[in-house]
Amino acid sequence: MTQRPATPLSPPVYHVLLALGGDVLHGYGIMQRFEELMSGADQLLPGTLYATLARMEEAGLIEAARAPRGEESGGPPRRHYRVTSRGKLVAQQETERMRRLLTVARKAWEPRLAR
Amino acid sequence: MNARLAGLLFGIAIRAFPAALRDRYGDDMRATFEEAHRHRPGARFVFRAVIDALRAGWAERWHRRYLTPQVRRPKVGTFWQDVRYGARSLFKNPGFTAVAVLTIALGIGANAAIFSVVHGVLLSPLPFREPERLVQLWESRLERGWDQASFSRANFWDIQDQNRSFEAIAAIEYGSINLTGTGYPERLRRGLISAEFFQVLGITPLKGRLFVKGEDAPGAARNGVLLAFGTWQSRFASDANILGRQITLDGQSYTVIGVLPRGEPWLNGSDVFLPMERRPDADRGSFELDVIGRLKPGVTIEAALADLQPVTRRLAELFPKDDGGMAIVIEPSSSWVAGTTTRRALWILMGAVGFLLLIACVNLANLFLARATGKTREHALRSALGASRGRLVRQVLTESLLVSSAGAAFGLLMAFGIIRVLKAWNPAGVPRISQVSIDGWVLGFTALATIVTALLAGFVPALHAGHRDLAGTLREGDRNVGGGRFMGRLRSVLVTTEVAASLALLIGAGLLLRSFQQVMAQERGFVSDGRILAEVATPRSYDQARSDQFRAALLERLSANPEVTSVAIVSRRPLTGVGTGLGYGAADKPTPDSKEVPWASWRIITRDYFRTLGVPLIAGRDFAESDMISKPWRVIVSKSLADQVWPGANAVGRQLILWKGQSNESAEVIGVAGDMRDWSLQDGPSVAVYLPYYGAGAGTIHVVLHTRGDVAATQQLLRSTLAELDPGLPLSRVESLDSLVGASVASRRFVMMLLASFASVALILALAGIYGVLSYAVSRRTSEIGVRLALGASPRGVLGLIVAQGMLPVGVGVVAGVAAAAGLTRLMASLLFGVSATDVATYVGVAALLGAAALVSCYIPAREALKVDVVAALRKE
Repeated sequence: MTQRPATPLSPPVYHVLLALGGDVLHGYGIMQRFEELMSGADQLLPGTLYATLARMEEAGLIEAARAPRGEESGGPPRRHYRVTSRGKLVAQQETERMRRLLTVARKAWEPRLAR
Repeated sequence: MNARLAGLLFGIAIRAFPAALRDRYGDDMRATFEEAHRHRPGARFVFRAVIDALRAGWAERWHRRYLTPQVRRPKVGTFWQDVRYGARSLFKNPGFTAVAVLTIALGIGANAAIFSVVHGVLLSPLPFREPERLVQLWESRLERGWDQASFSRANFWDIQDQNRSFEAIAAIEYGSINLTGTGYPERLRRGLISAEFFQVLGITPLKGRLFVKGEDAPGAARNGVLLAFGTWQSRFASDANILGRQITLDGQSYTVIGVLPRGEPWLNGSDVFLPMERRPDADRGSFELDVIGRLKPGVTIEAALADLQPVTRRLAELFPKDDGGMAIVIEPSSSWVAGTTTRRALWILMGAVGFLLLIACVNLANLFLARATGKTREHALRSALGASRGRLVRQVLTESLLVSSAGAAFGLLMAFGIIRVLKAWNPAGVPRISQVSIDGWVLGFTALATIVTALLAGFVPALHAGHRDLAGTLREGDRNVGGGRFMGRLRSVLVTTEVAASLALLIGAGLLLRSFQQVMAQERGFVSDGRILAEVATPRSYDQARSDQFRAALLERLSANPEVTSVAIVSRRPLTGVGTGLGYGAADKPTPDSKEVPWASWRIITRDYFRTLGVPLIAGRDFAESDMISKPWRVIVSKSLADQVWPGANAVGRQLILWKGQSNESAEVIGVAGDMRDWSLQDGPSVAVYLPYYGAGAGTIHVVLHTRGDVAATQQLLRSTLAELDPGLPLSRVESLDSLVGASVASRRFVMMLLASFASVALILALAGIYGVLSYAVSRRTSEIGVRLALGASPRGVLGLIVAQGMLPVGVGVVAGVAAAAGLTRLMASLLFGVSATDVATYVGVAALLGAAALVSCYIPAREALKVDVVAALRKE
């Protein structure tokens, strides 16, 4: 059963969607990508990451995918993920929502900050 | 940080995640952590990752349990699914269901019935305003051995005037009075009350008014009468125009001024209530008033006692003869609810039915377990098809709730019946039993008992449903089910519980039964067979000569009847548990310096009283008509009194001081009579003084007859004889002495019978439980038995083995039951008589009885097992 994602999305969900983008990544890949995107200013830790992945998988925002060729490291095979079309839609909606929020926030705060 | 240590810590932390999540993502999580740790080897990262995993794990657990709709939504739907499924499977198995429902109905029915009695009698509030401020007052003279005595009139008035802690205090004196002029004459119970008696209780009259302050003042007009509810209803047919009606009491005319509401106590203590007169010359030496008081707000009993202390001290100084050593005892109104013994008895019964319900629960658990083991494959299949463990547990609990609810419904019907029987029985000494009914409280209690029963009975089978090696069960099929060591042990625990609980109940019942036998076997000193008593009240208009003449004529006419062997008159009937007393001492012996005066009960009797009751006259002579009371004082004393005062010597002809410390009358002892337990059967023989009736005034007399006729014939004889003498005299309470003996032990018999019946039901349930468990276990072991027999074991040996295994939990239960009984029966020590709470004979006897019954329950299924067809059993193997 798919589940309507709660909007606004929780930060880790949005972060995972951002980190995955159009790629296929495993857990550590997502962690790394997110840190890069944020230039080390924020971090996803494995506990939160997998709790989030589990929920997103249940909600149909991401799905398991075959590992891209040549990325197989040694060790046991790990699950890889990619964003579903539903996930893309939700990410766009959330981004739009945040954009509007930012516009409102700017109007509300920036004149006063400028003063 | 060391990678292995870090991995270990993280591995522990992710155990916070729900198992399902861990199964799916655990390895990935660990791999991700390890890889991340390779890039950030610091302890700081490990610490943050561990904390994060713990937090996220617990959040996930919580989220999945309470928030995730997938888990929550179906729960509501599955409840009805479970109910439907449970009901279907119960209907499919009517035998099982009937036994289960009946078992629970017995347990819950007994509980609902006894709880309704406990609630109605002990827990529901008194029908008075602010009962917590109401108290009863008693006098005491500890050096005379009176720890609780009624008040004398003068002391009552003085306490009423001089206390500062009561809003008001009031008194009642019980007596009887003849009602005439309305059909046949009738003897009524009359309460003589101080004017504000019912105001103290906070009663509003049903009709009319109460007496008001001043109506007890000296010289005030006193021709109003208050009717008790029962009198108004039965004697005056609930006459709506009763107020203002004139009625004749003891030949005097009274106006009905009010009708009291229904209720207990006090309100039903008399049939009519008249105002008492406060006389300046009130008596101080005769103690006949029951006194109640309403404390001022905020005043405690201790404060009231402290306040009364100077008052009693003053009275003791002013009137040393009557009030020397006087003190006050105050009891809260909660003591009116029921005496300590009744209270104790009811709680013991409540505990007993609790045990009964426990046994019923265990039996139900056993039944479910036997069925559940039969259903093991079904459950295994269901869980293989995806039913969660919780779902299976819930299914079992739902079935147990269905059974206990059906049992509760039947149980309530049963409780209705039990309550009707109890009310019809109307045991002496249980107040307010008429008000007992199945009300909201009882229904609530029953609902609670139903849920507890469902949980208790469903708990073990639910455990079983949720605890299983799935693959093993499916593989092994039906062969090994129910034979599991865990389940076997569980069933043994259930048997042990049953045996222990029923043994404790049986021992309690056995002790009460022994007490009852002891009471009935007491040497009474009198013969009750063929003896009949009747009460006749001679009105105050009779002077002393007329009273004497009447009594003589009555005795003469009655003894002339050929049916009557012997007849006499006495001032107070035996076995009432109350009586009159006096202090006594020998005139020819110096009084010991100690202030304690021995105390004897006294009765006024005519000639032949002892002969009529079959009591031997040991020395001296009986009274004769020439022995006029107090002219001079002549007495007959009981053997115990004679032995006490003049041990080893002949008492006849010696002088005895009567009312010692009060009026100090010297009396000649003319006879010594055998001892009687005429106070009550469970008290010692009365130390008694008998005075002659000749020369005594009017009053209530009790005729004692030794006759061949029965009660009805005697009543007829008495009525016709009285009609010839004075048609206005009422006759009442014609009873056989046998029935008086029965009534005096009625409450004891009541508790004993109830406990015995509960214990019997418990025993039957327990035996059924033992039988069921063992026959089930045996039926599951047929192949093992077959193998043993095939390998050359003797049938006798196999029988012994099975019986021994069945009896082991019984033996443990007996030990536990004896220990429980030894602890619990101590609580009922006050109900026992002539037998100790740890009476070895009772314990051994009851344990042996139960053991023998259990042995039979084990033997029958064991014998069945030997009929096993060895070849068939082996082929199955």
